[in-house]
Amino acid sequence: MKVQQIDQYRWRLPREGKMRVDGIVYADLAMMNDLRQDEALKQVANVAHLPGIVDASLAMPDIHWGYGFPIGGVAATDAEDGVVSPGGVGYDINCGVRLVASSLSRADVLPRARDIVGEMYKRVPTGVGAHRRDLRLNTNDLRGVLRQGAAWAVERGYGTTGDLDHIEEGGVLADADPALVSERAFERGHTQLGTLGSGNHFAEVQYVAEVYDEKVAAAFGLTRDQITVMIHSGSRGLGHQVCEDYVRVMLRAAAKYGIELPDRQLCCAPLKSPEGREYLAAMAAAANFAFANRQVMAHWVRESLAEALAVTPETLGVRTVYDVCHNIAKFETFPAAGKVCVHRKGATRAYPPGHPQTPTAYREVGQPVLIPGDMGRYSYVLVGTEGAYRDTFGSSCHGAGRRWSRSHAKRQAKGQSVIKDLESRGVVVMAAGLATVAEEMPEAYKDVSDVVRVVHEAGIARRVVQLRPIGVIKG
Amino acid sequence: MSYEFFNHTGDIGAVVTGRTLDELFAAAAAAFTDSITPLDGIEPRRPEELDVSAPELDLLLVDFLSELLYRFDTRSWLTREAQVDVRERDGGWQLEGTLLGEKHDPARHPVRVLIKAVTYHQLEVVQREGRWTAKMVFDI
Repeated sequence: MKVQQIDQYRWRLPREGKMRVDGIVYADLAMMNDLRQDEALKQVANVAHLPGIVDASLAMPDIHWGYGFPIGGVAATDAEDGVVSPGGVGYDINCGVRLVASSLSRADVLPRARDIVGEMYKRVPTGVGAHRRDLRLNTNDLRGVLRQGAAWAVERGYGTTGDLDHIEEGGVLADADPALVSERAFERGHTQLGTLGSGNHFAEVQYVAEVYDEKVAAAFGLTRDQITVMIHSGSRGLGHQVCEDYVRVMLRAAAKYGIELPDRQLCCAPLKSPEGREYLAAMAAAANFAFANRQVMAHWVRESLAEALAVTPETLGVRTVYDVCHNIAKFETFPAAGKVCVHRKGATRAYPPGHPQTPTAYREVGQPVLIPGDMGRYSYVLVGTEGAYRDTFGSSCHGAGRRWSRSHAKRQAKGQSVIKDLESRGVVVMAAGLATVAEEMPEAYKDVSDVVRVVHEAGIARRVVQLRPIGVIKG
Repeated sequence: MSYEFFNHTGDIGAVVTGRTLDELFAAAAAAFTDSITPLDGIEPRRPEELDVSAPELDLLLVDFLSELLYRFDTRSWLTREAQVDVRERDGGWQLEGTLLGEKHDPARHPVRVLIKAVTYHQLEVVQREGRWTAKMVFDI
């Protein structure tokens, strides 16, 4: 595949064949050398075939091989004559990250780390089939969740209204229509609100280890040694089913509208067609489930901290710093491109200072961008920039990106206890599945600091703080 | 019939083979379940019926495995063995048969990964030299 270097951190895949635009990949030289061996670049080029795609098919530096779209891909399609593709969102609709901060310091928490992780593990269901008996939804409840998102949970005492201001889109996508969500999706959702799931999902107790930008960190309410909790999860079986249902609709729609694509998983329909509109409304409903899911889990995390430290939840000063979607498609408006449908598949919105969508408390500095790393090393909080707003449809990276396949990680982990190894590095791990821990071992991931360095240097987000893990629960 | 897994960065790929379509689909069911938990730990205790149809053969494979996923996700059902009959019907494809298996028991069925979905990426069902081969990727 032809790759042209644009500058130190950007590479162009020039338009050829039936590509409608170029591909542009954010990466440094070493990353690009690795990528040349990977299928991911071809997927960037494949996405460039989507009708109505604007400017370029973009890839963030955590890009890796996905299905249809690459993970780390961003594609904006014209609101008038573009398409929407469920593959550009993925099966885990509104998979995302929430960061909560507390008034606790590292010294308060270290002696009780095991208790805290134990309480979180007890309260937040992880792994197969796990759910809380005290949160089982009937069909009407679930319709409410799908319409109202995080607010549904807040109304029922899970967190506070203050949380809602600090969630992307206020924790609800307005055009959700539960009537377009299948019975099967409802069935899968009944018991899964407030559940973490498996794979790379986690809830992690962390502390602020480094502050790179004092002013922005202060605006986000983050200081050195402060305790935070990061939650990574999505819309669970309900969202997976919505995607599955609509990929099938889109396979038919692509044929109906004469859309030729190099990979069936990219199947799509015009945004203005009934199929396109219905997918967006069902996707929004699933996204709202995910917002509510993280809201409920954040509440249980707060209770876990209080229980383990034998204090009341109110004294912990727990508040939501921000909550981002990293698998989503939304209409957004940009100065040059106008109104577009931005698909972010493993990419995070990174809006600049002054944007009306950025919460009032952060408006002067920009939107928090939450970047989880692996279990052993570190995660980051970045801030959105004008550069991202101008060049990447207000998007940045979403995580470390995998280095090893799952089976390779498992082979590497054989004969060593990943959990013991992490404990020796000061990280308490509790997990429903030991295989998951092996597959998710830190070495299976690229070093997220490399990814963050590239987006920082390329100007599509700026480093604010580094967070280091103390304890984590996994599926 | 046989199956083996191939590496896909964040997900799991499987290639399955069979002398007949019935065997091929049975092998796909085995690969699917074995990704979730070791197949030999599942007892064929109870039968469950199923009937799936799709306009094309490869779509039938996705729908069949998605049906197994749905039963696992909503009822913790694990399939040890799929006895299925796959045939062309009314210009499309139909699968009828029986699943033998049991409910997931965390004590006996350690979970390897949870599958989110059966994708269409690299999906392929072909007949070569008298053998059927299918390729598929599961989203983890």
